[in-house]
Amino acid sequence: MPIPPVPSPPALLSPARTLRWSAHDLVVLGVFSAAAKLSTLVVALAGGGINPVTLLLKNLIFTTMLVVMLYKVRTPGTLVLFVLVNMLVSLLLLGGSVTLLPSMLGGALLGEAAAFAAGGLSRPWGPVLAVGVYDLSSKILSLGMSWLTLRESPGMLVPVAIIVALGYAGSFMGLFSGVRAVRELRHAGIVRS
Amino acid sequence: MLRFDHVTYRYPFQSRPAVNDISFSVRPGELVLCTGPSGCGKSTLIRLANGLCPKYYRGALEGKVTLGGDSTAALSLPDIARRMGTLFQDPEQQFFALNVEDDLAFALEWRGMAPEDIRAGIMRKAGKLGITHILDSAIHELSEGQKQKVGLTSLLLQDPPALVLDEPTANLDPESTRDLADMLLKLKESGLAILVVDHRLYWLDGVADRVMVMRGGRVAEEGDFSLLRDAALRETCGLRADRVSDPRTTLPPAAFPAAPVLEAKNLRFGWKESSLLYDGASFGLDSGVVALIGDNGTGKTTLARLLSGLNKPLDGAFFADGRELSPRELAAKTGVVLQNADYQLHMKSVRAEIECCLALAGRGREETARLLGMFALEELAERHPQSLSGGEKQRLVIACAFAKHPGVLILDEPTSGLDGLNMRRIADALEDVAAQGVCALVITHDLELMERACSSALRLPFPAARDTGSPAGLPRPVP
Amino acid sequence: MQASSEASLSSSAPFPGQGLDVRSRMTVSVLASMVTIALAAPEAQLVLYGMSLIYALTMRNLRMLLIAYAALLLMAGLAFACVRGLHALVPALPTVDFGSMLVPFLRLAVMINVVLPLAFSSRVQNLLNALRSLRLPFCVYLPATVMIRFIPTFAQDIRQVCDTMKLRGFRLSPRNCLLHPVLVFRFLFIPLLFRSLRSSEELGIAAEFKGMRADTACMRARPYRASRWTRSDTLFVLAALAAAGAAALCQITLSDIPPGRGGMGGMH
Repeated sequence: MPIPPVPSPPALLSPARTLRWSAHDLVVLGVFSAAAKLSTLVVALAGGGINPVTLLLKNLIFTTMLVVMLYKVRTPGTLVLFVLVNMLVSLLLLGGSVTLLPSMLGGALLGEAAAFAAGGLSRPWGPVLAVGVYDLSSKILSLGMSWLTLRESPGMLVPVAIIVALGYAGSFMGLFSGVRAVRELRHAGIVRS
Repeated sequence: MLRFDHVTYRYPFQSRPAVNDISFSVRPGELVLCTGPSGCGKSTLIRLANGLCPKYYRGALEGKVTLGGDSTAALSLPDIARRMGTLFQDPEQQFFALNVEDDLAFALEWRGMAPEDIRAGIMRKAGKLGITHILDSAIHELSEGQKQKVGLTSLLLQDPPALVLDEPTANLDPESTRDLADMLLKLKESGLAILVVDHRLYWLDGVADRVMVMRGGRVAEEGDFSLLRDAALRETCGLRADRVSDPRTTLPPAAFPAAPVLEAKNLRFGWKESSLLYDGASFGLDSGVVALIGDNGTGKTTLARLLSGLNKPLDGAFFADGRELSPRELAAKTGVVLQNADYQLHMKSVRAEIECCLALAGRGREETARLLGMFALEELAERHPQSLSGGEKQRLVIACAFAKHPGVLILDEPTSGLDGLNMRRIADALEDVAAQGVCALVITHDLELMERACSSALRLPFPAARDTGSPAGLPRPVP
Repeated sequence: MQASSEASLSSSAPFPGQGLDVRSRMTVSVLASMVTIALAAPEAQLVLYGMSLIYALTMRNLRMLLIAYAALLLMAGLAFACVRGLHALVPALPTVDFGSMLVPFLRLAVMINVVLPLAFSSRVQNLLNALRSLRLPFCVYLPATVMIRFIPTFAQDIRQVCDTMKLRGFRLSPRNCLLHPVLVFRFLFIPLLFRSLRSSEELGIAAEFKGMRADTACMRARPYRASRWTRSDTLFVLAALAAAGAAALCQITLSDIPPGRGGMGGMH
């Protein structure tokens, strides 16, 4: 079935819409989580985990996906939910580390708070602000978690910090490519709002 | 059961209505076929019937759609779904689980049914639709026909009194299409009201009670199936044929040419060493449009992968101009159009897409205009590739594959889901390509495309060399 | 034809850990990660490592375990070389020695030991059932289900996307990632983005038709299939708690670092 231009977010679906997210929103979240996780995994496998360009690229792709997803689902709390779902599935299926959860969750909460303070995700730049704050704060918090793990040899934090900084550079670029992707989707007639 | 009463509907941000003043009904025990060229409003008709328009897509609705006497405006989507099941073109996109039984159970779980009742219901319906043997299978392992049956079973588990099917045969082979026709006949006899929207028409001869031909958002013609016998109507409305022969048995075998574009010698390949797909197969490909024919699992797509260098044969080699080709040369010699055009479109405009392909093939941009013209894409040059219609996307990916100037152009199901007009355009494009000395090797279930464009057939499985005394049982070149 | 993506994501051969409920395996993963971070004495880490290694070996996938260890060693080696190199260039920067790397290395190894059996015992399909038994809120359950449902599909899609790249004459290699990042981005990302949008549209519609809402009976009803918490799970969690207790005891009796002050103790 060809998909016509779709208004976003979708219309009311049932008389009793007391829920925060519609089933459709949650499906978007799940599909984008899978796509983001796998595309970054492929880049990491193809380019080598410690290739600087790979580090940039996989963070760039992840952030771009996240920005597009938040433009599709602009309900408060979506970023936190995205992170929760990602961590849960990563833990269960892909061998994700438990110790990354607090930093990502903390980052997501800060991102949501920043977007809320600026008027909410429904504001034109709301999703970009939320993702920007999330990327920055989760990376800083992950450095904190690394310190806890490596505290016996603090010198090891130097390469970790370099890797995190490179990853953040990719995420920062991802904010711009995310906005460009949303514009491209409008150009393609896929997203109208 | 289903009734449209002077229905006019306009999508948001659109100035023209997608459907205009439509009135018709589908009674219990009746099957109505709706057809028409791409963009005529068929899909919107389905969305109006199942409530997606305007409940999901919003927009403005005038007139009334009723289901079992109740206006769909007053029903929720799950309520509508219980009264009328919708089977989409690609049922896999509707599955929530990874195995058949779990997916069938999924919808019933959401109705709060006890596991024992769910199991009993599944066994009953699966028995009726003949899918008991695949209940444990993974969704990814199913053929397209099996996926359709699973999708249909999932709908019937909710016992809806009506069904609507959106292009159900687009991905099916002729045998699965015939199975589906038989199944719909039985369902119709059991009293279901059925609305089918499809480009392929022949399979509903003797099954459809009424036919509606849509054009420009309106019902252009209405009558029984004999309406579609009118060749002028089919031509004017861009419809497909009302009856087709089966060229799979009548197409002449691809002869072993004296100077083939590409030649394979003693190919040996299998995904498992224990079950080889080809063992000592040899064949030659000459210019022309050649159909690659074979049942599911005989290795059609695998052969395309070997020919394009995506996989290496366990044994054997490919030759052109009398010399063996390296994997790199083989890849340069073949152009491939995969089944799903969406995966093959990456750039921001049609022009950029072609220019990118030319650059990767080591050719200059000056050829862009020629390729745009050759595939009638000039007016679409600045459009985003993902915004094109199915037929336009197919023409673009063929143009991209042709940018390499390949000796062999392989196309996997190039016309699935296309209307008659676009199918004929693709067929013409293939004939043009073949006229330039290229071998267009077409993997297709589309009997109409085969009949119209293909001049010979390469049939799988290849007979084992030892059985025939000649490589793959193909005719030897005439000295 | 090809090995299914599901098979590539998880081991299909049954092993002792596979009989355990996903909840007990998750509990042990979280417990092990917390305890290994809290404790700092090498003796305590060795106890944790030994116990978690036994658990990891029940996975019966020694190859995967060795690959994970090799990756860990490689990363640690590179980081070590990097720190020593930087210290040689800028003496003001801190340096490391092998002795001080032991505890961090063991911590990471413990995490590998507990996470791998969790990931490799979770067949994609069983995981969908396991999610039901976790009794998660609807808003977590549905996207997690969809994510798991789409991982094999997207793995297949990515294969097609990579095939398309190859057919066009472009390979997804480290060199091309380095020289043509924009092309890599467009080739890989754009088809997946549009595919995600279309899939979410179609599956979202299916979800609405199936009446999926948090207040439907399903979230309260008995699942069609669900894994059950058995006595083995209780024993498994108790064993993990005992291992954690033994590690803490080691830290108290064999080391001068008290438990709970591992972080500060480690810094001195």
